[in-house]
Amino acid sequence: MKEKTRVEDVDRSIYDIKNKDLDAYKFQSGLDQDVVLQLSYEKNDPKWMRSFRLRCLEMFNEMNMPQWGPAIDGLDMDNIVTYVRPKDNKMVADWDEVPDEIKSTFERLGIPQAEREALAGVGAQYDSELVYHNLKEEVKQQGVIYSDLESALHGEYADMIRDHFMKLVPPNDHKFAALHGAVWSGGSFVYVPPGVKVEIPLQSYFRLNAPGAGQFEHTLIIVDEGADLHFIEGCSAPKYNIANLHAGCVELFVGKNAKMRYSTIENWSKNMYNLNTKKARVEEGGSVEWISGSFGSHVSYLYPTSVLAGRGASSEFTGVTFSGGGQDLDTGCKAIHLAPDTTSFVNTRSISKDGGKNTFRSSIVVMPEAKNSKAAVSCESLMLDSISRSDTIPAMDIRTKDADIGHEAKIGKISDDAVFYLMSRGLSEEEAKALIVSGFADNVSKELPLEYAVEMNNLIRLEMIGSIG
Amino acid sequence: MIVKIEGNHLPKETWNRLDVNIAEIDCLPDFSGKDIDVLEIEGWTQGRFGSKYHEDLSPRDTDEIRALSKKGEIFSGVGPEVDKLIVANRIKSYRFQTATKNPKPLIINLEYLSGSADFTPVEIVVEDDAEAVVIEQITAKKVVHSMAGAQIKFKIGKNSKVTFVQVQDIDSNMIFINDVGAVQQEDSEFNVITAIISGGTTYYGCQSNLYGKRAKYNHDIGYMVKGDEKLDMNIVAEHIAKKTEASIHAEGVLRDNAYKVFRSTVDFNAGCTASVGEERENVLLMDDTVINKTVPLILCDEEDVEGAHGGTIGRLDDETLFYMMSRGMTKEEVYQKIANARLDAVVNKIPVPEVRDWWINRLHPEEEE
Repeated sequence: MKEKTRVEDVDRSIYDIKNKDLDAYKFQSGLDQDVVLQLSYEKNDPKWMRSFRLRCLEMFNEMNMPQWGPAIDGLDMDNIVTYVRPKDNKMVADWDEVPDEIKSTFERLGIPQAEREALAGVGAQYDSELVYHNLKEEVKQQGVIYSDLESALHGEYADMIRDHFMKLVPPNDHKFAALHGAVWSGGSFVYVPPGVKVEIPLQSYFRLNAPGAGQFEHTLIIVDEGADLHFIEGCSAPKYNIANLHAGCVELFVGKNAKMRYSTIENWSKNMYNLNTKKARVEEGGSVEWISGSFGSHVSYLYPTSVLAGRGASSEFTGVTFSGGGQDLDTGCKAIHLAPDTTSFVNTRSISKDGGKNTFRSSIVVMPEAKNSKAAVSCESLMLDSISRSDTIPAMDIRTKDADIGHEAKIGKISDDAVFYLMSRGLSEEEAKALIVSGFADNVSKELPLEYAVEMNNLIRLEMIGSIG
Repeated sequence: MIVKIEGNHLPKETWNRLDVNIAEIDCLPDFSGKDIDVLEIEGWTQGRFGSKYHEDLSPRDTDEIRALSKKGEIFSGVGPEVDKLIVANRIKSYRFQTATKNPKPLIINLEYLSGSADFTPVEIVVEDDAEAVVIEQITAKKVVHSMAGAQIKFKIGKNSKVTFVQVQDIDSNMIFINDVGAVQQEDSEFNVITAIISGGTTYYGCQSNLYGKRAKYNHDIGYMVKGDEKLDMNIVAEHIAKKTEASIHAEGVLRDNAYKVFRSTVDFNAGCTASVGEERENVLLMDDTVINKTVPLILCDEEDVEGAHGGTIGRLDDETLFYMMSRGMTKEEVYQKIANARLDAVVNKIPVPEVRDWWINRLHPEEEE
C-alpha cells in the first residue's frame, strides 16, 4: 500500500500550558459604554482618548459583520472579557521581577533567552497588560524609543502618538477596527530617529492566558527618515473550549528612505478568533517587508496592508499559512500604489491538511498617479488530503496604463514528478515528500533570524509513516 | 422605471470595497421576446417552449448554485436573475437540437434597432456522439436607448463536441446581457470563442458544469473596450466529475475611459479527482483613464487536481516595443497593431470561413480597400 506523507500537526505542547486564572482584576464579559468608560478610567486615558474610545464603540455597534470571509458565528461579544489584568501587575524591566508563574510561561516560550542572545529589546504582554519591557542600553543611546504605548500617551511623545494613533487604521475601516479603538489595551510604541539603524531586532510577544478573554494590543512604530528597524512579533495562547478573541492593531509609519521589516510568527490556539489589522504607510524611497507565518487560530482574518504613498516606495510580503483540522484561515495582503515608481511583491505559500481551510486573499490597487508601478503576486497552495480546502482570491484594480502587473497561482498536491526525481536520487518516497513539504515553507523561514526559523520549523515537523504491504 | 438586478456573482466573495462581488445591472422592467430568423437547417430540429422552464432556476445563493450544479442543473454565467427576467416577461425560448455528426452550422443572428427591449432565450441540445458548430452574431449600429439580452444554454451529450462562436459588435449606447451556460456529459468538449469587438455596456457571463467524466471546456475570449464602454464578465468552470479539464484564456485591450471587470473561476468540487483547470488573462491598457479589475479565483475542495492561473496587466514589455519601433513604427502604431492582433487572434479561430472572413473584413475595412 502506498504510504502518504503525514505532516505532523503543529506541535503546541509548550503553548498549551495554562496558568491558573489568578487574575487581580477582570471585567465582566460583554461590551457596553460602562465597560469602555471603566477601561478608560483604569488606563488613566487623556480626555481625547476617552472620547475616541466612546466614538469607536458607537461605530462598532453600527457596523455590520463582514459577510465575505469565514464564519465568525461562534464569536459572541457578550461572552468575551475585554480586560484581564494579571495578578501583581507591574511592568518591569527585569525578568526576575516578573511574577514567577508568568515568568516561567515566557521562559518556556524562550523569550528571555531570545532577548539575551539575539534581541535589542523585548515587550512581553500577558493578557491585557505588559508585564515586561526593556531596551538594551546601546540602543537607547542611539535615541531609539521603545516603550509601552500607554505610558507614552502621557510622556514627551504624547503629541506624536495622538497625531498617529489609528490614523492609518481608522476605526471605520471595519467593525473590528472599531472594536479595537474602543477597548485597546497594552502594546508598544517605537520611534527610530533619522538615520539610525537598529542592528538587531526588537520583539513583542503576546500571551493570552485567560479563557474567554480578548487581547487588543496596539503597536505603533515610527521609523523616521533613513532609519532601519526589524521588529518581530510573536503570540500564543493555551487552548480552551470557549472562544478567545484577538483584535490587535499594528500601524507602521515608514519615513523617507527608511526600512521596516515586520516579522510575525502567529501561533494562537485553535479556539482563537484572530481578527487582526496591520497597515504600513511608506514614504518616498522607503520600504516595508512583511514576513508572516500563520499557524494558529480557529478563524483568522489577516491582511497586512502597505500604502505606498511616496515615489519609489516598495513593499514585499512573504507569508506561509498552515491550516489543520478545525481551522479556517483567511490570510493574504494588500498593496495600494499611490505614487510613481512604486513596487509591491507578494510571495505566499499555504498548506492545508486534516480538514483545514485556507483562503489566500489579496488586493493590488494602482491609482492613476502611480505611474511606472510594478506589482507581482505569487501564491502556491499545497493540499495534503481530500478533506481540506484551499481557495485563492486575488484581485487587481489598475487605473493607469503605465504599470506592469503580473500574477500567478497554483494549487495542487505534491508533484509526482518531483517525488520521482528525488527517489531516482536515492531518497525513499517518504523522504522525498518530506523534503518537498519542508522546502515549500522555506520562503518564510529563510527570511527570519535563525532562532525564529528554528521555531517555525519546529512548528512544522514532518513525520513519515511507513507501511508494508 | 429602472429595475436593478444582480448578476455575474463572484462564486466566493471578496472585500466589498473592491466592488467586484456582483454586477448591479440597471434593467428595463419589461422585455419582449426577440424572434430569431431561423431557416430550416440541415441536421437540426427546432421548437419553442414556454418560460415556465426557467421558473425552477429562480435566484439562489452561490453555494446553492454549486450544489445544484453537482446534480446536473445548468446555471449560466450572469446568473439566475436572468432566468427570473425571462419568467417575469413570459418570454418563450427557442430550442435547437441535433443528433448528427456534422450538421450545418447553426447561425443565430441578433440585430438590434433603436428602442429595443428584447430578450432571446435559447436552449441548444447536442445529443450523444454528435458534433455541432453554433455561431451567435450580435450586432447593433446607431441605436439609442436600447437594452437587450440573449441567454444560450447548452446540453452537451456524451462524447459530443460543440464549438460555440460569439461575436458581438454593438453600439456604445446599448446595454446588453450576454449570458451562456452549459452542462457537459462524459467525454464531451465545449469550445467557446468569444470576440467582443464593441459593446456599449455589456454584462457577459459563461458557466460550464463539467458534469461528466473527462469533459473538456475551453474558452478563448478577445475583447476591446473603448470610449465610455463597460464590460463586466464572469466566467466559471465547475469541475464536478473526475478528469475534467478547463482552460480559460482572455486577451483584451482597454482604451479611453473603458471600464472592465474580469471574473474568472476554476472551481474544483470534491470528487473531481485528476482534473486540471487553468485561467489566463493578458490585458493591454492604452490610456490612463481606463479602469481594469481582474479577479481570477481558484476554489479547491479536492486534493488530486492541478489548478493554475496567471496573467499580466498594463503596458507592452520593453523588448516587444523596442523591436517593433526598430522596424519603423511609432509607439502609437505599435500599440494599435498589438491591440488589433489580440482581437484578430480570437476571430481567426472561427471555424466557418465565410463567417470568419466577414468579421475580419469588418475589423479591418481599410485592408479590404
